[in-house]
Amino acid sequence: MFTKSDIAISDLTLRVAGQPAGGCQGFCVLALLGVVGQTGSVSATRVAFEGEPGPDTGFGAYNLYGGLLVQGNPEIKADVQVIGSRFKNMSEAIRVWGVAESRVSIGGSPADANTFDNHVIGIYIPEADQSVVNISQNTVVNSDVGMMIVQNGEWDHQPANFTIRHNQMTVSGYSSVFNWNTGIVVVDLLPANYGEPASSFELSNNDIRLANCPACDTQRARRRVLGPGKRPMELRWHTWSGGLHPGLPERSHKSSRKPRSDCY
Amino acid sequence: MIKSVSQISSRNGWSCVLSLLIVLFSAAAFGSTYTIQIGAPNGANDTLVLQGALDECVNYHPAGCEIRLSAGMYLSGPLTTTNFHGSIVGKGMDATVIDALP
Repeated sequence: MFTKSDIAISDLTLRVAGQPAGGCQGFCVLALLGVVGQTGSVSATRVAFEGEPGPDTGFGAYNLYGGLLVQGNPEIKADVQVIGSRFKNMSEAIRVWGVAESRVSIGGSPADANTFDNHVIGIYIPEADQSVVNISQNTVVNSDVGMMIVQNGEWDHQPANFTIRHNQMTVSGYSSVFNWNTGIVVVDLLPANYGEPASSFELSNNDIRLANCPACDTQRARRRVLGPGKRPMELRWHTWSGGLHPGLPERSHKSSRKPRSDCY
Repeated sequence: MIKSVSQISSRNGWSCVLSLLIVLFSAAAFGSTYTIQIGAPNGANDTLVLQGALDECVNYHPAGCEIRLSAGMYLSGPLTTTNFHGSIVGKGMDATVIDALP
C-alpha cells in the first residue's frame, strides 16, 4: 500500500495464490497495489494482477478483492495509467475512487490494451472530480459488469470528461451482486442532486456481448444507465453489436452517437 | 548507479558509509535515478528484503529510485510505504512474480 507516492511498476506479476487452511473471511487480500492519500500517481505497464476463485459467491468469490486500488482521502490528485496489463480472478480489477483534477488512462491505443477476466466489476470509477478519464481498447470477459462509472458528487460537484471507446466486453453468468449483467454502467447524479453540469461521456464502438447463459434474462444483459435516483433504464443510444442471447441472430447496431443529455 | 542489497548487507562500518556516500554523490552529481537491484527470491519469505528496499528509497532517495527485481517468485506479506517516488521493475510479466502471502 503506497501513501502519497508516485509509483510505476512494470514487467512483473502480482498474485495471491491459494488460501489458508481455514479460509479467509470474505477475501484474503484487499488489493495487490494500492495508492491512497491526497496526492500521488500510479502506472502499471505490462503487469499481471492475479487472484484465485474462492468458495463464496459475489464479491467474496475470490481470495482477492481488488487488483489496483486508488482511493482518495477524501479526494486524491493522482494520475493513473494502466497499459498492457492483465487482471484475473478478483472482485474488482481496478477501482479508482475520488480522483480530482487528474488524468486516468486505462488502455488507450491497441498496443496498450488490457485484459480483464472473471470479476464482479472490471473497472470501477466512483467519483472523478474535474478529471479526464480514458478507457479504451480493453477486453473484459467472464464478468458481471464490464465497467461502472458513478458520479455521485460525494466529495465535490464538478463534472469530469469520460471517453470510453473500442472496448470489448463479454458478460456472463448471473450476478448475485447486481441481479443483472451489464457491459457499461454510467451514473451521473450531479445535475439532479446538485444542479451542476453533467459530466461528459463519449462512448463509441464498444462491443458488448452476453456469453452463453441460457438462464439469463436478455433484458438484463442490455447496457443500462441508472437515472438520478431511479431504477435502471435502458439507453436509447446503443453502441451495440453481438447477440443478445444464445440462439438469437447477431445484431449490428453500431453507432458512435453521443449519449443524449437526458440519459444521465 | 546500481546497488545490490546483498552487497549492502555484507559490508559494515566505514566501508559501507563510504560506499553510500559515493553512491549518493554520484546520483546527485549526474541526476540519475538511484537503482537497487534485488537478488533472487529466498524461497521462504522476502518481505523484509522488499520492505527494506522501499524504505531505503524513501529515506535516502526521495527524488527518484528504481527497484529492480530478479526473475523468480518472491513471497511477501503486506508492504506499506509513504512518500515513495520511483519504480519497481521486474524481468517480465511471466518471469518475476510477487506472491502475496494471504
